[in-house]
Amino acid sequence: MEIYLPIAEISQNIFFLLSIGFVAGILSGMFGVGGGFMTTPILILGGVPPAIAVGSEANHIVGSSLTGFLNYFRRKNVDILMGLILLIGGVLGSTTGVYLFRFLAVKGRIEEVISFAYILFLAVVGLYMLLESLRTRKKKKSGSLMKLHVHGWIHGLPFRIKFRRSKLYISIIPPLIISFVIGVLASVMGVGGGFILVPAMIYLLGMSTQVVIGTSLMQVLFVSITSTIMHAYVNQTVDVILSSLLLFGGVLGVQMGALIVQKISGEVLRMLLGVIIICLCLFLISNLIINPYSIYVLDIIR
Amino acid sequence: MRNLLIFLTAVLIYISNVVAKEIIMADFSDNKINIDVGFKGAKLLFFGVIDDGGDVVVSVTGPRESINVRRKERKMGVWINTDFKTFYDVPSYYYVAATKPLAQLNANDALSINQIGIPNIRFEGAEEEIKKDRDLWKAGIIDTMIKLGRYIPEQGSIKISNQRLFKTELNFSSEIIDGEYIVDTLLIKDGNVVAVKRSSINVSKYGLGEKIYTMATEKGLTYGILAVLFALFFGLVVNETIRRLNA
Repeated sequence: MEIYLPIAEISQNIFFLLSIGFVAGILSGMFGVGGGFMTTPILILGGVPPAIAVGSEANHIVGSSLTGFLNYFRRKNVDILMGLILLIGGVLGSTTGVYLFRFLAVKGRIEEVISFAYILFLAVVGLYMLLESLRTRKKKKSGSLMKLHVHGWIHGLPFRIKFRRSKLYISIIPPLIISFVIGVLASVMGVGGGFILVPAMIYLLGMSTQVVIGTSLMQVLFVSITSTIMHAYVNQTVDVILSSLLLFGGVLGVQMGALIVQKISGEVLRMLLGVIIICLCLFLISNLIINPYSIYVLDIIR
Repeated sequence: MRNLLIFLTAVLIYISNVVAKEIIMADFSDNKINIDVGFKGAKLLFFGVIDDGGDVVVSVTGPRESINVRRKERKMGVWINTDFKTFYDVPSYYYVAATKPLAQLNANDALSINQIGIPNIRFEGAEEEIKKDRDLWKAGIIDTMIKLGRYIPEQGSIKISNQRLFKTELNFSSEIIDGEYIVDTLLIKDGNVVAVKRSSINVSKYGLGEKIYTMATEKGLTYGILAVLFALFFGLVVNETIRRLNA
């Protein structure tokens, strides 16, 4: 069954949209990421103009991340205080990123450099997560469990705050810096940033995996609200028909993802996320190497 | 150059109408296409009368738009964007039907002047490039348009009955954009265009789709806020529903 998308100006199969929304929802519910990294390229492959895929995807994430966030919130698996601090850093970072992007774009072909950096970054993070979770699993079996997070000097910087839900007593400087850097990267790359934020919270801040997902969803929720409104206002690239269909599929996926998380342990979850990050990385590499569908990319200006 | 061509075309049409005194009449089953949310493409019957024999060519040209074009190249083993150009007045859709394959009409000059057939489509842009490079870009754009299903490479057929009545079916995929589609009907005899008729099809957004489009383009901020509120509301409702079901 086909449906015409008034802003994208093309028709798409309803079930195709529902199912990619569903898969993105599962990822979102399980890992606290937006899922835009997966949905956006699939939509573009399906013929949706890139700008509209990005804008509508942001709107889709608003709904699915709220559903996921509420699930974690009820189970008290959200660190609101940490989320707020990350949000402040993220907002400052993404604003800086927009200006930085404009500045770099003038300087020439910086996009490729950033995308290479992003791929490298994903490869390192993905492999690290995979290896770490495998090691933890082995140790768990042999019974010699080590503390995941080592209290380093950066946690002892001034302005220390007690983060009750995360069971941490650390300085607010590291979360601010981390979220600022990710905010910059996210707006330059045009991604939500959840994929980098989640491992950063686990490994750099030492939060437990369950709390990280809920807190990350909180961040994703606010970032996607802002970017939907910006995309709609500045670029007119939000297609509500498209995002509603993704949403219908997505919310069920999120619920399912949140249920799966309850059944599996932290290190298995980290292992799965590591595998997915590596897959994403391989996908981006293959995009660069495999012959493109078309050497010329057309963008109609209306 | 382009103005000259338009002028020549106009002269040609004038001459063919006055001197040759050939008549061509044509009409559609419907000259409006409404794109609503359920739009699946459209079929229009196009029919007409010619005076006495000859070949009929019908071309459909979608609204001419500006396009940004990026070209990728393989550098050091990876595909990257290497060049960027803007082109103007590029037809967003192209389709041609005729009683015979265009090559057998023996009217290459006339077809070229009237921009009939995909290789004869003309548009502007990249004027600073030398002809060879410009042709490369043009060929790339046309190839991509064919891949996207916007230019139809297969020529449609036209049937003539009793030497006078012709009819053909015009198919539009669901990916057409709104605007005015120009339909040119040419009567060709002995390699010359002896009569021309220009008509148009109006493609417009309609119903819910039109309302969404208008709001998104005219009241972007309100639209964005409503889109967010809808998504929040939907997320909340689904979460509540599932929680109640589980309880």
